[in-house]
Amino acid sequence: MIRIENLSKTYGTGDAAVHALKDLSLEIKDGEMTAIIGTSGSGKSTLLHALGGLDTELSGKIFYDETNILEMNDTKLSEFRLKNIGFVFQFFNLIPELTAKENILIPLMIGKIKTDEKYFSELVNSLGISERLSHYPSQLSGGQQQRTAIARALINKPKVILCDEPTGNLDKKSGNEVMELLKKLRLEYGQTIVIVTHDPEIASSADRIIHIEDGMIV
Amino acid sequence: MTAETAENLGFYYPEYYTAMLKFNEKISNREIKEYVSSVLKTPMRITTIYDLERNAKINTLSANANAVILFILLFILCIISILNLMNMNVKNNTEKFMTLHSLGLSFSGIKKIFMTGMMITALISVIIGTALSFGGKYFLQTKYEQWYSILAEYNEMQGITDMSVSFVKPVMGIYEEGTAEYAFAEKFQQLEDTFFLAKEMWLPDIILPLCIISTVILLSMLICSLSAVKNIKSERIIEDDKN
Repeated sequence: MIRIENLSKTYGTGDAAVHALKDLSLEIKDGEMTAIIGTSGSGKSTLLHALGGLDTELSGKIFYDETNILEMNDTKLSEFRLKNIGFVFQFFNLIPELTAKENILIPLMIGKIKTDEKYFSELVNSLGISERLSHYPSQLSGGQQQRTAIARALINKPKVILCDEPTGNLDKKSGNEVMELLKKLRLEYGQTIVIVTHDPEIASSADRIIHIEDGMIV
Repeated sequence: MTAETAENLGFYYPEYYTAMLKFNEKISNREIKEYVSSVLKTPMRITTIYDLERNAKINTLSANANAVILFILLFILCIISILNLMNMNVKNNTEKFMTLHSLGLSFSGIKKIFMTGMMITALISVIIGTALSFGGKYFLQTKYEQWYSILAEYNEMQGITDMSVSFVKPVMGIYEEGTAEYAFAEKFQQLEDTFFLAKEMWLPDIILPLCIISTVILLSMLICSLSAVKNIKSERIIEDDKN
């Protein structure tokens, strides 16, 4: 379970201070698919980055089960992220010099973990990219790039998948396909999924929708 | 040698007299000159072996100073360019590094990757740079030796055996075309023209390490530039893809 207690984030100081998150508290159950929805600048991406431990300059607490990730140093937090969290970004963030397969295997390379070939084949077949593994990102369509990014997020079998506007850079058809895949993969592997989006239609496919405005849950 | 020939050969003084004096006790350069002046009946410019040694030292120092100034200018230029290229490299790779960070790579791991890349670049540059510098030095040294042996041969023909005291250069202008002397002077001139800087600059020992460092820096710059260009290209592909 993920538990957020009194989380606040302020950018800048004095009159120029912007409160991205204001004393926010929240609980996300294991295996739940949660959509965080809000307008641009509402603080939803800040919340997602905080959940992933990418932003640690915050006040409050973020517990994964009993572990407060905001108390960890960078090395421990990176290790925690490697083992427990998978990220899917709006712009895919694949490494252009690496093939799709190499991109998928990056987390294993970072963690110096041996590839589970059976799981890898199963994953790329589920995502429909088994024929595209030797291609470079520039040779893949937007939908294929996002599927590669999802495979990369899942390769370590993390407990939590954090998606930042995963369909934001895709056409409607590809976006729906990605959402269907995320739902299918959750059923297969049982991950907790948190999706940040501004699209109510995408959010409607989640188990739970959280609205954020001005850094607060409304 | 007539006065006219000597002038054509570049001598300032129409005639040279060489004398070897042995003193029983150690005396200063000034005392030697005073003694020789008192012996000679006509006033003459006196150059002692100490003057020649001092001139040789000044020439070497001057050549070293030229080389050092050239190196410092090159070094400053290279450092500015390298810093600029490194900044560009970091900027171009920030997105990739942050992606790797989000996938679980710590900042110390990112630093390690960056430093390893820089070290590999520097190592490649050191190997190539050292080889090129030794090759260049060998080439120039060989050319100098050829140049010097021709000069020595010519001086011997002119009856000058000790080139540390005085020497003459073969000049094409004073010989008729088609003569053996003209061909000799032509060969000498061609060889002298192959030095694109004053030949004295290539002689001091300081040149080799300077050459190595300069070449290494220049090669690092070249490799960093190529890497940056490649990064810009791939970033552009991604940007195009996004659009």
